[in-house]
Amino acid sequence: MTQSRVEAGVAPLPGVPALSDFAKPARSLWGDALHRLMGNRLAIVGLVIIAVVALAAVFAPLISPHPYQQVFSGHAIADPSLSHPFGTNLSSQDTMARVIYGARNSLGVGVLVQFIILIIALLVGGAAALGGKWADSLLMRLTDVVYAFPDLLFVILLQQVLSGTALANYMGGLFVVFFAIGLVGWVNLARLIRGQMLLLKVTDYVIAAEALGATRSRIVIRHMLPNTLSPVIVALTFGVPSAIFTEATLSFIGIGIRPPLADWGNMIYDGYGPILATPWPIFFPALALAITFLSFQFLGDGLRDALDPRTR
Amino acid sequence: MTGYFVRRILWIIPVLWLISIITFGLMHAVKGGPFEAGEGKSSEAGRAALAAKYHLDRPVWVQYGYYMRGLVQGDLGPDLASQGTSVNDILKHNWRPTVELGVVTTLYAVVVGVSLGILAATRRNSVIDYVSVGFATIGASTPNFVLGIMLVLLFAVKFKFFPAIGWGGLTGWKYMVLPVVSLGSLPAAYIARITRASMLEVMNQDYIRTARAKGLRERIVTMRHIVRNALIPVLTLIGPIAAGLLTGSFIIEYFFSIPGIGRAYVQAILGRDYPLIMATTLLYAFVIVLANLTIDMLYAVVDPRIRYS
Repeated sequence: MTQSRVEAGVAPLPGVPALSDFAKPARSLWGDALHRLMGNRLAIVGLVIIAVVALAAVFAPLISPHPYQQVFSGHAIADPSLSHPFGTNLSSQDTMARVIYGARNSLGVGVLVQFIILIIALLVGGAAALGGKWADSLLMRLTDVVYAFPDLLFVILLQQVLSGTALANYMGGLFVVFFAIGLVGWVNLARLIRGQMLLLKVTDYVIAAEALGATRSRIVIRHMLPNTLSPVIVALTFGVPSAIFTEATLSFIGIGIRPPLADWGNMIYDGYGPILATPWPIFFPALALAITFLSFQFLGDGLRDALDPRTR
Repeated sequence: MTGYFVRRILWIIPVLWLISIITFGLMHAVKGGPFEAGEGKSSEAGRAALAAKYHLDRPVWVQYGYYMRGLVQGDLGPDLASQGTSVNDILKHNWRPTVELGVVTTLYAVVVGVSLGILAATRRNSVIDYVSVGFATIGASTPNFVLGIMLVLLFAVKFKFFPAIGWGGLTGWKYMVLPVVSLGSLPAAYIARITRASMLEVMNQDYIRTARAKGLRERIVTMRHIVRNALIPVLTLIGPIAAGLLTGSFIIEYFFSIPGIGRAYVQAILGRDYPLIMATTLLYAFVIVLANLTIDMLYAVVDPRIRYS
């Protein structure tokens, strides 16, 4: 698409280079993408919020007003006050502390799941694209099978299987959950990586590199992986909130992280019991979940626009 | 292309077969059996007798053989949780609410999503655009069970417009409103986003300018030229969304006490009810495969440029 934005009837966005910008010295591919990202206000808001949530998660012990498991007897389902800014839950624990510590577990799951997904998807997608016809058919049929699994239900089954093993108590039961979510979540990314690599294999610069005698591993590492990166980054960014949702859903039906540990999903579950008495124990974790989810959406949109201007 | 689809249809069989093996292996790897632990369960001797009756004392692969023999004859096995009922009975009783909920929710998501998307795109930067983008944003950022809680609080507890739990079938629309809106708003929001983006993209095409230039009325340009082309990418989404809604409704079934298959599945897993786990997994997998196949076929029909090989 070579139409200019104005011609296309799209209102110019702040940060999209004006004609005069093109006189400036050329930026690198990534520098250019960064510049476009910085111009996207929503994406930056998202990024800042994610950074705040991540910092809160990392420094939870320092900023939390109380320990997350501390019981303030006689203060069950208290409304927000100075000593308990978000109120307390039915077990008389401080909601703010639990939201902050919950960020650790919720965000942690979201991010760690993406690592598992990335590793499996890179191996499967890469091997399918580069391993020849047989490997390709075999691996793609495998992804068909995993794709057909009803994933949330499969996660529950897998979680039940793993909870009988030594891994069950690792990370308060959370490891099993994110492992299960990762194990079923890689299909789309693997297909994306395969498709991207198949396209790259026949690009002029890869053929040129081959002609110049570059080794296969060098071509893959220097030319193909970096060019696969943009859609992968975007997919992973969108993957974080969806993994957080999945984990929250599991927590909500009582599978997943174990009390007294907190995550936003099991806080919503806990808050549901006394919901007719007070909405606060459910309100704050739900709000944290929604804000984090939106931030990742905005960042993902921004990254997609920044990394691949053609799709705009 | 017929050959392609015949291959795709035949491929369903090995996919389901592999899924049956994996599921069977996994569920037998879950610690504890259906007749172990828990109150009200039978004595040691009774347990052994039950296990023998259902071949649970045999090696897993022998059990799998028994299961598959029943399956090809259409017998999904006994329901281990309640004596005397079969899994066939359970599915017969439970399929209706799940299908009704899934189909109605898909319709809701598509109708609301597409209308909002079209409105937003044709009236860009107007109040309608902002409202629908706002709806899409909020809808997409709230997990369905949280939305369910909020809707129940507001419309069932406070205003008593709709019942908080239960299911009344297709005629009991009052029971349907809250679960459908809870379950369908996230996909509706997603469809709205994609529709809007796709509309904006199509609006910039040369053939739209041509249509206007030859003097067509704006309504015709929008409905016949823009919307038709813009909905092609939306169509591909409907397959996974419908499959996701049919198979992913269990949390909403659980929350609204809808007697569907999803709720039965969760209970089956927690109770190690092997035959019921197998049946629901295979059924859901079949729905997912079928939904995607249907959409691929439809895709080839609406966009003649697409050729499968």
